[in-house]
Amino acid sequence: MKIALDLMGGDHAPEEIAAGAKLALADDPELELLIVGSEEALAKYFPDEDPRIEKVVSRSVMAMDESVENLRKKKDSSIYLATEAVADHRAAAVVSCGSTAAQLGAAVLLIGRIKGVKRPAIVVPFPTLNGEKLMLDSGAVADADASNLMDFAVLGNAYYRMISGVDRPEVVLLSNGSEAHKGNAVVRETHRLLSESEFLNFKGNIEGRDIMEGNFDVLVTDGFTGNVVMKVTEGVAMGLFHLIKEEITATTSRKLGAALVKPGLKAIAKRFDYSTVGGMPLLGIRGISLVCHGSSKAEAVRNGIKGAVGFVKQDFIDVLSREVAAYKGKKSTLNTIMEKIERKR
Amino acid sequence: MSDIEKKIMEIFTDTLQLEDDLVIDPEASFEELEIDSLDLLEVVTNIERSFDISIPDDALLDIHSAGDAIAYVEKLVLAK
Repeated sequence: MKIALDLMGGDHAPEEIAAGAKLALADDPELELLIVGSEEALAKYFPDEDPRIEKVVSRSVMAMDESVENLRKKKDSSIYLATEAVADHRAAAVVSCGSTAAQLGAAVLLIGRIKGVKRPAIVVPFPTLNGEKLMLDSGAVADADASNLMDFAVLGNAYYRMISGVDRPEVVLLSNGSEAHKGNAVVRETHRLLSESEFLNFKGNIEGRDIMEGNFDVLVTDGFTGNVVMKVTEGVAMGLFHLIKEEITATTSRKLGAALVKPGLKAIAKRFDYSTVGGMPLLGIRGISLVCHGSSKAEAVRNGIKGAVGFVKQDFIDVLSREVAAYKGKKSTLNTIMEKIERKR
Repeated sequence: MSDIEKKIMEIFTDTLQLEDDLVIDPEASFEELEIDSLDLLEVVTNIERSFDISIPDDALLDIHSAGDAIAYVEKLVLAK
């Protein structure tokens, strides 16, 4: 199986991306990579010919802060060319640690969306006290409207059903209170739409402090909030571990006890370590585009590539397409907007 | 309705995944239609592919509605 890899995207590109690629190739003898990078980076990190590596030269990089419109000018960028390889069926999936906006734009433009989905979402596994749950969107669509959030709910529901076998996953909406009237206008409207939907097993709103309890299967929110939640959780977990380490090593007697709890603490830390997941797919795209953390190092890239192989094998695009079609029927996501405009006129 | 106009309206309908019987007002601005930058990027790319033309970024600044897009493409195609 051939996976396209954006060598130039990410805070530690190209060095760590290249190191991750080499680890992934060593792990899986069946794996082939289509590596897209600058001539210089390809020559430096992959100087030898390898039948399992196809090299594609890119001439530019989409920067983290660049607007999606610039993709028109940067058709020679690493993310554009890597995504194009998937669109042209030269690779089964694309993996990138670069700009999420650029990756989303390239995926929508070149691979296309599942019919009925206006905007794809990034789904992430969320470690809770009640096992691993799903949260989406974690950063693809910052300014999501109610129609986008409904799409995310349907996509998350379908994906959770597929990976867990649970027939009616419990879907919740993140808000600042459990009551229907809580939240901003988009959240209130989404709550109304979710409550009216017989398709989804909507269990109402939950607050940020309830996420860790994990009394849900799929948590729906917009990309801005989801990204903040994810990173605050990572930060709090890291901070707590730092404090615990400080306290349990403060005296000699505590150090003796620390040796006993260390394996347990390590196991918990691993649950919150994004590098073990590597990356997650943009749900709603007609192909697999795996978004990795911008600060990914070799281990995360290795796991991202491994994850991409797994997602290709899951063959979930058809499943999602069918679920979205079943939910939407012939009604498109934009129709509600058009109806709203008609009412305005 | 000219062939170009018909084709461009089809591109808008397909790209924005509207129902076939839903008609966009060509005079309505992209802002009114809540068409964002990514939608526009998709529409413009599909127009370029369909008519085998290239729309420069400068020209995009003057295209604010489906009607503007039709007028621009008609001018470009006639000049070919």
